[in-house]
Amino acid sequence: MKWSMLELRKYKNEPLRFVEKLDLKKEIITRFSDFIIDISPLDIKGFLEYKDGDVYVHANVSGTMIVPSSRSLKPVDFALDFMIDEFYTTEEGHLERYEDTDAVIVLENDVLDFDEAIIEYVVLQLPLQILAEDEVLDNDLPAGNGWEVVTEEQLDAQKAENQTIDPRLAKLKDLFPDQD
Amino acid sequence: MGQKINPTGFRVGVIRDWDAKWYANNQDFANYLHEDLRIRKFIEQKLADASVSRIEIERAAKRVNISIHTAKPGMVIGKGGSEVETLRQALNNLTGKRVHINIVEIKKPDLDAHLVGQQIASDLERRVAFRRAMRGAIQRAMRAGAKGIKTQVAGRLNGADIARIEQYTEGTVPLHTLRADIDYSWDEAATTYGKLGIKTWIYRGEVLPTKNKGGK
Repeated sequence: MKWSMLELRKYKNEPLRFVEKLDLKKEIITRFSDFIIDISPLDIKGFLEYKDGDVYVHANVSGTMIVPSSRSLKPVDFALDFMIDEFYTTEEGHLERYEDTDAVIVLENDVLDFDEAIIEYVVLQLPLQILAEDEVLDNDLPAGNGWEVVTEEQLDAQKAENQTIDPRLAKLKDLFPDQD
Repeated sequence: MGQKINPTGFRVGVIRDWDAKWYANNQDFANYLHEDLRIRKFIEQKLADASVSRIEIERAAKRVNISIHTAKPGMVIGKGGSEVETLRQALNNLTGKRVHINIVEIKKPDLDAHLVGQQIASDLERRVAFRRAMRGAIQRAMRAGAKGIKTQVAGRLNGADIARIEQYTEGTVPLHTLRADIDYSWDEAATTYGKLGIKTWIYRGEVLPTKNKGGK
């Protein structure tokens, strides 16, 4: 999905609507193979509008991808369903037209490469942590010789258990016997 | 220009704990300190892709307890525990002491400033537009329950000739409130145009004092 800005000028009065199935597996796996194992073709549905030299794109993207589990590295299905709301401009000066909260992308040339935008959004959807269904409920964390995996709560409990007063400072407690 | 204290250092001893916990005599102190630095550097290099947030070091006699806080324990452990066994052996040799490793699984990684900063950095290194990377991180943190987040990227943004700073904020980040649990991190992205500095502040809510169980 690539359009030149010149080509998009004709959509001043009426938006360009699109419904497409896009296979970006090759591009995504080549660039992000370390954390995406597989990705299905994506369903793209939306429209774009041309206004005063800028383009507004609204699209809904859905599909599924397979990513490694954060705990065991085994493959986990991850559903994709997100919206893209972005403005594209070729003039840096046009940035003043928008609010800070608007997503405005300044194009380096006259071409709006929406495939690239979708790839970037797919990568941004990746959570920092993903667990398989059975791992979410499983409290049996792996352990070995001299190492163990613990939850934050277990570590806090361990710390509280091991909290002892340094024996060299223990006598200080006798200085003020009436105070805790 | 206002002078700004590091939000983490400002809160240590008030609502945050130390990352190194040990006592040493004068003659051992420098050795232990440098050993800590070597341990941290080694782990950070070895586990650069494992989303490591914090490394806590505790010492007792001839034993060193290292707690590695990570969002991806699988990357630290490796297949069948092979990676962590190698790491433990390497740390045993580095310190000459018996090392025990606790791998702490972070429950909400989107509320950890260092992990969020690292993710923005890796997005930038993969040529993702900086505005998209920052907005994505902000949305995820707010969805995960943050009260506020501020991200700042500095350097040659999108390869521009002149370096500049851009920042985005959502919610509140009350830096002057000591009881406000604000996580702060500074990270770096190595792009083809040079380094970009990424600062992240995440406000996770207030830490209120708990009542003493004895009622005193």
